[in-house]
Amino acid sequence: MDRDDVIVESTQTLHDGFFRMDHLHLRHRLFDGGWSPVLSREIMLRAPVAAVIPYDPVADKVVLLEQFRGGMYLAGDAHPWTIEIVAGIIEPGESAEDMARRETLEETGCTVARLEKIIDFYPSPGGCSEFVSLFCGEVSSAGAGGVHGVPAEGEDIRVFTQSIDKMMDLVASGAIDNSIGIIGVQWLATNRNTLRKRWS
Amino acid sequence: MNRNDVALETRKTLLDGFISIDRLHLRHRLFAGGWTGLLQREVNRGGKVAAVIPYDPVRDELVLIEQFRIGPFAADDPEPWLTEIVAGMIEPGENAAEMARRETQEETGCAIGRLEKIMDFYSTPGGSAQRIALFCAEVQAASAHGIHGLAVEGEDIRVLTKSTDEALAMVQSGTIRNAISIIGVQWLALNRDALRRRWA
Repeated sequence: MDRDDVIVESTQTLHDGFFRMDHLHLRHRLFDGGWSPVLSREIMLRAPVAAVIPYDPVADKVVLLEQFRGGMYLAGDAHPWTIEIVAGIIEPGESAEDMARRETLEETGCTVARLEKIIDFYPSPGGCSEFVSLFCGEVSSAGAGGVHGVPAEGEDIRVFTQSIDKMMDLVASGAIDNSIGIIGVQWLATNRNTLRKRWS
Repeated sequence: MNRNDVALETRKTLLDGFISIDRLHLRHRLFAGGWTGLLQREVNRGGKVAAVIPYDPVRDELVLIEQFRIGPFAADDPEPWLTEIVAGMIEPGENAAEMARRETQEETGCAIGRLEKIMDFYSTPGGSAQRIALFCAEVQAASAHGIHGLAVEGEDIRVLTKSTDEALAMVQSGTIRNAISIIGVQWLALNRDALRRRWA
């Protein structure tokens, strides 16, 4: 089924601040034929995101970030700083590729050479429109470190490098506990041999 | 750093519905020492989700479900029906493992044998407190077919089965494009040999 199998009956904006929240009433076609009753759905509208695994194929290491996250704080997490790969909102008029390169430089201080698109995905499709374009970016991890970010945007980012095996341990132990970071680590663990051949 | 390195100045509820949003004003300690300026963060209060990879270790097959999702519809996705693993909100007073069993039965019609906890993670920790408990459940894929879900909750779910390799190819092609399902399928591809030995 596709978009033509959905009928929107009404749209009401509930909030329009840092993000927008809409309340939709809609019906859609059913697998067995016919139509659903009118369904009430609340949706958070968020801009698309570009994310990057900053990978050094020679050293076989990844550049990672650590930063404070408000969602974890609100959830009552004892340690509301998480270990992540690069991610940022794509500005209107900017391509995902340009954003991936700019954000990697801003957040890690590393310049991206080759950049490969991996996959696109929705982090939370039941209630949010956010769409992530995930890339792998070739970087040199030598000298990566220190504190980065744009202070005016409230960013305070610690940069460090890690081997893929250690990153798998960080996922297993829960130190990397955000969906974009986990997807990036698993992808790299699955694909690094072919990627290193391609980039050698 | 930990929770004690965050000073919450104000917390205001902006929306309190199916989706609830809080506006936080806070400061946190900086990596280099000292404190940030006053930061404003709008955060979805989220909730807890249990997600399940329904896996048949004998046939090496997953049970997947297909359903309409408002997130992709709002993001102008041409096909707002997504192929996913099982997931559902954990009701207050219910534990994640009980929820995992009940939701798998409801959404796929499959009875569950063994159930293993895999990991906990945040879907989008920058803007949401939503936390996911991911499990792998032993099922018999041969019994999985048809249309499921609770009609009163507007659920219309089609069940299908795929081999682990087919599911991984669906991740790479973008057919499986939500974070929880990608994490589940990649985890299975990386761990199925050990899992099949454990469950033999």
